[in-house]
Amino acid sequence: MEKNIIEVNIPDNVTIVAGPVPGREAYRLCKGSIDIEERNILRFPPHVKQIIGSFFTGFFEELSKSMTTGEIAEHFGFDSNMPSYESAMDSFSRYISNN
Amino acid sequence: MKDINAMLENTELLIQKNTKKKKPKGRGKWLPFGSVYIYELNMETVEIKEVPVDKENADAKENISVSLFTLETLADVISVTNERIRKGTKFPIVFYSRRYILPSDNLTVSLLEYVIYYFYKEKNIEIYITRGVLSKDSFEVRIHDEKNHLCNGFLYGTASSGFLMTSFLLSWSVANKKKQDESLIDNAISFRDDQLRRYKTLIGKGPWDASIAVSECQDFLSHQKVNPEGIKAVMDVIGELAPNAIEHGNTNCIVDLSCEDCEFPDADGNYTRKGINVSLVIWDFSEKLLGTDLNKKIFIDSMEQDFKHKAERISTIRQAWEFHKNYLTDEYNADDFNNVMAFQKISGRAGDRPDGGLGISTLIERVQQYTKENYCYVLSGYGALRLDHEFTGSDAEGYIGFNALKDFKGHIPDKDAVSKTKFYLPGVAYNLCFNFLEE
Repeated sequence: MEKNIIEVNIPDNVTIVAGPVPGREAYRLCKGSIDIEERNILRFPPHVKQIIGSFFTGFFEELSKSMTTGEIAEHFGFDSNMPSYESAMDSFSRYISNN
Repeated sequence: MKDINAMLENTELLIQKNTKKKKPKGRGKWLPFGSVYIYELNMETVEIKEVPVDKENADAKENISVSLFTLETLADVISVTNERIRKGTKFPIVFYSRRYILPSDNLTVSLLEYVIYYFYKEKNIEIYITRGVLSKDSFEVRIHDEKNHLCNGFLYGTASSGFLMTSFLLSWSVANKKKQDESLIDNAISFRDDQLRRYKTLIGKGPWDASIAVSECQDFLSHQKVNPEGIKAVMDVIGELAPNAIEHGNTNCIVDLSCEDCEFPDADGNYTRKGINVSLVIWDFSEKLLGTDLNKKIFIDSMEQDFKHKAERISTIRQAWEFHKNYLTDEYNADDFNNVMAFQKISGRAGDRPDGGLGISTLIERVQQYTKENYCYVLSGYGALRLDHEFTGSDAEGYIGFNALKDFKGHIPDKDAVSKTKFYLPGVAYNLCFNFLEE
């Protein structure tokens, strides 16, 4: 699989991203660049320090209708250089393991 | 400064639902000069032991009888005020007790602040809560006393809760009426003071509003010497509950936080290690109870559709209901079952879906990890569930029974886990407290 970098847009005054509604909003803004045949690497801007709560419930809401959580785990990842990497991985694993 | 009035929606509901037809038990009268209505609240008297009464001398302590201001007292305040408004009054109403007043917990303070704000802004009626002494020819308001534990009629000091210490209620007095700073009232909804250690905010419905508020909460806590692990735990809870409240209730919510120093026991049991209590209250303006969506999904919509996802959990909940419904009483009714259902790891979001239901699990985990004593509960409608460790343990499959047996399927909750109040919370409110070692 090719790597497909996705820049996720988050407003400047948000340092912690929380909840499914922003997840849906972020997905809406970047879905044009997602290619589900490839490995999509989500890159959050540097002012975002943490991604917590059910953000990914919202982000993958639409995709989860056509993809299994296994496929989502396989086709999505994160840019390890971003400050929110660890919390993104935490929330993402929580999302994957609960479903 | 946010435009609070523009953001607030659905503010009437809580007021309407707590305007009772039955007259409260207190007594009201006009003062002889006619421009103030005073009302003596009927409150439970409790004795608070060993209240420090001298700032200079830590050993000086007294037992003090106080009037406990509960959510039921708040319903009385709302009922009486609406009755006065119905009769056309425009004058201030002073609710008083002859004793010191002590709010029963932080949620009560947070809601009382809102109720005072609501009547002031929406109905142009000033409400004051104070300690007062009515004699034949005078009504005396007690603002301070020589022992420094009375402020505007409220008892403060170690016996009291965090929110009160920082509340505008301590300076919102009928005696200062003419020179009162009117902006004080805005503190009822939106307030940050790093010295007083309180942060209260109203979250709007925009897609990023909850994230902005959560970011501000984190900034506030990082100024309060809460250790990083503690900040993360509180953020996990706020980050789940606040967005949930807005999404689920399609309305605004209030997040209210305060910090207080506390002491932790060392290995020998002596309280020597410094710590911080973080009190967290979250409540919304919704008209949906905690279990409303889930009840609809499992017991109403499900007649028309079969669930592929989480079918087993849904079936277990239905079986549990078949069992629980045989044991319903005034103390544990169908609404309480709906509240308990919200803890069983199923999302209330409509439709057949594999995800969700995580928010409440995160809450329970953090309460189990970081709450030393048990001050935590969730209130929805007339029913509250206590989140004490002994009630929130889960069985092997993650079901929470709110009983010591950890059995949701075959036992109803323990008596102490479910409580009732005459105050009606139309949406959902959480009263939580976490304890962390200082950084």
